[in-house]
Amino acid sequence: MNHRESVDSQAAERYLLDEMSEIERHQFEDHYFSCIECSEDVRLGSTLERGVREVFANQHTAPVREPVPRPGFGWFDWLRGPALALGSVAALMACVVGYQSLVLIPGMRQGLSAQAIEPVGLRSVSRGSEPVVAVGEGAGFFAVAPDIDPAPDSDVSWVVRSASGAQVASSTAKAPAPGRPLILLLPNRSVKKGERYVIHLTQQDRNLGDFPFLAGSK
Amino acid sequence: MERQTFDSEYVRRLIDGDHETERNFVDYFDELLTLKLRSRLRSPELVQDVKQETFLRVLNTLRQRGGLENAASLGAFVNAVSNNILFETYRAQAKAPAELPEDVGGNDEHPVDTLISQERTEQVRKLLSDIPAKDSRILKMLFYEQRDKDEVCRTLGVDRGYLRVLIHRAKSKLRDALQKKAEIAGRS
Repeated sequence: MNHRESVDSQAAERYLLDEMSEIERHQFEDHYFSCIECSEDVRLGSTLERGVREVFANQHTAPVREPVPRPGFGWFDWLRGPALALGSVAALMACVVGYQSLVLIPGMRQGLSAQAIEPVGLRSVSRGSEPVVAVGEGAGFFAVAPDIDPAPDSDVSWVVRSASGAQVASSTAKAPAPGRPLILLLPNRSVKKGERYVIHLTQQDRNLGDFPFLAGSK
Repeated sequence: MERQTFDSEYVRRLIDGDHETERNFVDYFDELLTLKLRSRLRSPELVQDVKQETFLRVLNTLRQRGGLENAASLGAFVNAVSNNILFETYRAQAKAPAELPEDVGGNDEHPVDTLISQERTEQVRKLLSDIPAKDSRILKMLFYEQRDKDEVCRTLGVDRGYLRVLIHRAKSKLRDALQKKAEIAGRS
């Protein structure tokens, strides 16, 4: 294989995609070990592959460190970064804050103190068994990140239902920027441990998928 | 990795044991050998062994022979030596599998892959946010989720040709971004 043949046959791309026969692989390796341009191309392909893995691996394991502020939810000004959506209980929380000076709510105060929450990635029903999401005791939140691919220009609607079909939380959220996750913060008390739940997401008329999970213990 | 041309002077320095040249030689071919070997040897230990043996044999042979007829063929020589060692490894495994390190299969992440620099990851992140969401999704399915390529094509309504063109364009953008970064770094 010479350089012209390598370029014309998209050899570097087929090598990366593992589309070559063993003979072709040997021929291409014979070539790129000697060809500066093709060896650079092969290295770049490897960099792209590993970079994509790291980017998405970091998205699904990173704790919520820089949360985004939500307009109208002053209590959550510390939230920056990926798009965050709060359940319908968020409105209740805002009311609770307003009464905080009059009514002592120790449990709620504990739940609203600074904390680090690591979102659990969720995959749609077609991708296998549901993951277990660790849910803490008392007031507080757990976070999930359904693996969706929304269009960037319109809101995402979501609803959480129990196995019996009862709705436990719902809301809408601004779609995250491409490549960024949508992280949902749900109150610990909205789910029961040992029970199965499904998050259904839509965007206008488009079904973004159903994402099951099992509420478990920490 | 800087562009490297191999001439008789370079080979001479290798034979003479010039440390900088030896280091450059190993750095240049280390990744190429890893990419070649990891698709054939699941065990990271075996990949390391074959690489080390390749470097040793190439250097020893160059020193014994006093060089190469054509210095520009150094790359081809390295590849040929690695092929010989690979075949020896296969034969040794076939004859006495109990004596060799275990072939650990089924790992999604090859341990010999070192993490690429933060800067490169950041460039890939920017690339993923700049390209259409569908293309970003394809790259995620291919490289992160490691889905079957035909499944990716079916799911997103594209063909294999689209995958190749996408990867080609993504690499071009990545190359431009890394070059730009290197130029800015060079000026400052």
